[in-house]
Amino acid sequence: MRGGVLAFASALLTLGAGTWAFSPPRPEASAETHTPTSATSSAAGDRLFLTNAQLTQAIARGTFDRPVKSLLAVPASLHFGDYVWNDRGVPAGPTWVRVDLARQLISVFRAGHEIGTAVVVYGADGLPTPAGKFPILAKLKDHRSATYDAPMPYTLRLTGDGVSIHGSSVRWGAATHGCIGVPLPFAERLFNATKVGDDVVVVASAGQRPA
Amino acid sequence: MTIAIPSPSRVRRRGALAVGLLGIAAALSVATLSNPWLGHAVGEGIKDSLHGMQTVAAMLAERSPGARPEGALTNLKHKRQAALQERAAPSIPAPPTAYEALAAPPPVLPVAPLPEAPLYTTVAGGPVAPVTPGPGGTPGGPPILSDIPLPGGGGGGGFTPPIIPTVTPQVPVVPAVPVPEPATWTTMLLGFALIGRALRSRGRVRLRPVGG
Repeated sequence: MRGGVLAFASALLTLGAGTWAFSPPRPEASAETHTPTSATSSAAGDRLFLTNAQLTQAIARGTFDRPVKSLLAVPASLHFGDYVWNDRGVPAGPTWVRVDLARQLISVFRAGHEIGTAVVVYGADGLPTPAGKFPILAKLKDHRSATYDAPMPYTLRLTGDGVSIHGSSVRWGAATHGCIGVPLPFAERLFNATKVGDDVVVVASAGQRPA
Repeated sequence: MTIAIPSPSRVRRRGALAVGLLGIAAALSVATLSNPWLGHAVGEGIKDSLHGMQTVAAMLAERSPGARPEGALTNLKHKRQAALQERAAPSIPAPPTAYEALAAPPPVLPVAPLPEAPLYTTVAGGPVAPVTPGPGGTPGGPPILSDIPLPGGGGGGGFTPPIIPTVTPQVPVVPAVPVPEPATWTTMLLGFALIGRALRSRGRVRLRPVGG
């Protein structure tokens, strides 16, 4: 019996060490992503064009609810407060926004191409951000919330009861009362890129199909 | 009749094998579940490799800071640190301003007259000074007295006597010491020692009948 316990312990140790050793290290973000990047980098290497198979799979899994041609190539995982915006060479077209709560990401698409992405903060556990498709109801540039007595610059109103996308302090461990908070410079760009009526698709979990 | 009873050693070995296998299985499942990277590799990586390309979900997962962990919102460490920094600033003593440097001498001044007090007392013996007007008073008094009557010869001399009696009773000024004196400390320690001795001696008395 003692041998079994020893085997158990050694197995745990070995596998623990193994997973630690073989787990890919969290990619260290380069200075480029630490400081918010703007549309200055070259367009060639900054975009990943999706194949038909990839798109079909993404739509089948519910990742996207409409065709997407390309995604921004983000070299490393974004930190809280980081964003990437690159609409160089992207033609005019229908704009929509995808918010991924499980991955804490927002993506802005224009004419099928992703033009911006950022880390978001979203509703706290007791005040969840609703999932679904919400056309932008109103745009309020210098909004101040009467409910929370707080500035909410570049607000994009999503629901009648006040859920919005707005500029916010995006940091680890922060949450909202149900809104989607984005970094302020990103909020400004998003505000300028969208218009009332554009779709905002909020996806709660990775596999969930937006309503 | 003979019943084949497995020897205890064999049972033990089989049990050991079972526990070992269980351990490996548990470790594998825990490692897969707890490590999102490994879980991703096991779950989606194989499928991806079939296509030979990355899924959109994997691409998004790569740039994601990850899902918000359960305890993320209850961890206030970040906020507390910020608050600490905010609190730390006012506690740093500011360098004294020019005004404060000017305002500081007054507390020093009352210390300076104290040693001069005996000088005045000596002068107090000679309230005769005002009687001898002008030049007679100045050479008779020490240099300090010569400073005082500068504004006006006889008038200044007349002013000094009322001040002198007020200064003389200042001699027995002894500042109260807030710290207990050595004698107090000694008494207290002696008390402790006595208490300890009393307790020890009483214990000894009690033990004796039990031992006997």
